[in-house]
Amino acid sequence: MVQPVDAAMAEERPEKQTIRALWVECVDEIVEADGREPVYLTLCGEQGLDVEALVEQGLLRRHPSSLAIFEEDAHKVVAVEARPDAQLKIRRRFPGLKLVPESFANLVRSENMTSYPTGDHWRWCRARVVNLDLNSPLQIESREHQLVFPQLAWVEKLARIHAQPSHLDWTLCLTLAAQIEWEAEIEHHVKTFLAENLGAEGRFRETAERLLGSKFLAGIEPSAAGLELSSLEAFDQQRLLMALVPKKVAHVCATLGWRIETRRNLCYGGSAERAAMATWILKFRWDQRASTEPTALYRESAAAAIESPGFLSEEGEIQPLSGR
Amino acid sequence: MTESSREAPDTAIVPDGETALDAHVPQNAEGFSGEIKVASRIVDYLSSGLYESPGACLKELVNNSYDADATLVEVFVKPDADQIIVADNGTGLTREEFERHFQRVSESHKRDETDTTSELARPKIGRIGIGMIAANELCERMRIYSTVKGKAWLLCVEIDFQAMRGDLEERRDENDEDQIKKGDYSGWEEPTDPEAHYTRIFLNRVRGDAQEILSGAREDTHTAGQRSLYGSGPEGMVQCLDGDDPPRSWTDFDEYSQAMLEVGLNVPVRYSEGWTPSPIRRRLKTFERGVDELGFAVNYDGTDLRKPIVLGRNEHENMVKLFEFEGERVSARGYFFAQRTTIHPEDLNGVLLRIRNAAVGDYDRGWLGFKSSQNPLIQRWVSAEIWADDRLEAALNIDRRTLRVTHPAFVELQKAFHDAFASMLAAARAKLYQQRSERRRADAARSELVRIERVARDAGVTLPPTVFEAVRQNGVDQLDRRAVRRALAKRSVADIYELALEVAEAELPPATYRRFAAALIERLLR
Repeated sequence: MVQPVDAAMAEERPEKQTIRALWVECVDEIVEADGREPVYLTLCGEQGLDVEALVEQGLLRRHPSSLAIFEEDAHKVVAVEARPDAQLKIRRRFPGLKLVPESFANLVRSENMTSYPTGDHWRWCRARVVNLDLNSPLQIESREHQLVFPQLAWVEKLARIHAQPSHLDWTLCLTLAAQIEWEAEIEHHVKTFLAENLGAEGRFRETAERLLGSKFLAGIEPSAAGLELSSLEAFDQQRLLMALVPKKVAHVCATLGWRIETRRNLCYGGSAERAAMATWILKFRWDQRASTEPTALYRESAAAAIESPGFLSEEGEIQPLSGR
Repeated sequence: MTESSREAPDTAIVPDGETALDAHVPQNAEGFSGEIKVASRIVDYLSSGLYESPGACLKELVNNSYDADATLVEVFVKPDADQIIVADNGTGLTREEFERHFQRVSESHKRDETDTTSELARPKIGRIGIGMIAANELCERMRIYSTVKGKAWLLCVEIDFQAMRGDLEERRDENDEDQIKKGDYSGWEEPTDPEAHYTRIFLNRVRGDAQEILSGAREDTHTAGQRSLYGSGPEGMVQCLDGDDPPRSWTDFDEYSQAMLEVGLNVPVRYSEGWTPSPIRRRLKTFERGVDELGFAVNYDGTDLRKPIVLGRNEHENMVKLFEFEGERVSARGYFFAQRTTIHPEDLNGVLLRIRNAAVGDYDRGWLGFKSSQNPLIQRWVSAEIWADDRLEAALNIDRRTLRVTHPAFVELQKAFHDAFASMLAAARAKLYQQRSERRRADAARSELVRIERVARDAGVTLPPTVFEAVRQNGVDQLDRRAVRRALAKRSVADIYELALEVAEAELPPATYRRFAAALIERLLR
């Protein structure tokens, strides 16, 4: 059942505060080591609470009398926002913050792999931490008999951009609503995709079984009678997403030179009052094996992605997610 | 503007990297489009070259907000001025007003109905409505979002100024050759809160030089220094302008700050707290109160912008003279401030004329044509502000920076001003220059007399107490001019020789006198 996304309300909730603290941790790990290149690219929304958290941690300084961001720190954070009313609110909260007044899709030049940003746009996309707090469902579209995941294509583009010389290890923070619009073609593809490694990689099957449950795994086997993904409850939709998204990301990025460490694979919400959400922190580490063992790299990254899933309680505590 | 879920994918990717205007157009909204035209070739030229700096363009947009009864205007430029936002809480624009105005700019719609603003009855600053076209000098694209209280519609328009960069003749309207195309616009209206009222202007694709100047990124060290006002509060601005290490000129600041200062000087914002010491401030309270009552504020990248006029904080020898004139053709009032040293920053030296609370250009160091040879030193010690009434506006040139010197209102004001200024210079000379000069001379004279007395005492000579007694008992003020003159008289070696010989010849025996003369010349010439 699809629940409306209550993005504004979700921002202030304990779960979101915990997630925000995790993002800040990512930035804190690298900000001192960096030069003049962008550190953090974010779709912060009009509230800019993650930016505020960076200020509170002292990672971004402000002039006390005007609240303007220190000029020396202005390069560190790049906020992306297409909506003019939100742009104004962000500027009011953080005068002097670098704001790109367009959509993220425009910034990365959509999901088209032949078109890439240039100049400053390129530089911003190479931020060491990219936070795609999308708060929207994973999009899956059928185009010319191919399934396209636009948002994951953006991730692939970011991976390609960071892979350019000299490559930069980077971190992706991604948040999606666990509300996929299932059509028959999409459902079939997802089930096939998830199932493809189950026989080939024991470790992945093991971890997938723990996350999704054996009944689910059986239901997505090609020979199975058919588990209808659209009939899944919110909780199962979340788990599905928690398996699907990092696996997909690992799949597209392995050949690009990246080994992906899944620092966090979490779900939260999913009740009547709170939309079902999933969030990830994925660290992309340059790995020479990409040129010689891309498949092994992919399987390693995919299996590791769902080894330690967790969920965030309403109080904001991270707890392990056990199988069903 | 309506909230929408973040990051709904844009299917329309604009080649230049901007989000298409229609990415957020509601499905049932009725769109509209048209061309912006200016009334004549002359206005076309003028609307493209009126503003000598990007700061002047910003100032124009801020004054527009003032004319729309805004009490707060927010200007966002930093960090790199690739997008500039000017947002106000004024009365807003309806679509009809926008189209009526922009379809034929400069037909004086601005003062059609009334000379004052509708809500706060402020005297309107803009006359012929080309102010918003100022944006064309800053950017290629301007987006306006505006709503009027009581109307449930938000006007959303994008203006593309690129069209106006072409050849003039190609832009002439084929149906009305008196009209020149200035830009294209397209827009729509969408529902909004009927209680809301504002205008928000987004300047996108800011032009190269303007972007560099406004962000302070240009590296031409001949036009700008390194000091910056970015991040300052009002107190910080006062410190920067007149603290322990005041700038000699606003060009000591970076260009970002220079633009900020230009805006602050021109638009009707308040003075800073402590802009001048209390005794002076009390005398200037009327002017300060007059500005306060306008209730207008500008927030510039988080800084509460105030008038960058800071006087007398570091120079305690100063004076103020008020100016008030009621003439047949114009009336004016204001003040002269004079201090013992050169006014710094030098940008405050001169007279700043205001009409309808907006400055006419910068401080005029020519003092409305006053002769520079009259007390030139003292002229550099004076800063003045004059508020003239509306009648002087007829003498204002279209650039709002200069006046027609032959206009009768200006001529009348000039005469009255010059009389007052001459009087001010004389008073400043007497109080700040001559008095101090005399005090300095008296101090020097006292020192000389004390020294002479000591020499005499050491020589065992007792001298009449007349002059010295006055010095000992009452200090230098009691020295009369003759005594001072004598004490400070400059004498040559020959003068001293002659004087000493004259006295010696009268008092000494001849032989002793001759020995004394020889010893004295030897001593004087050693």
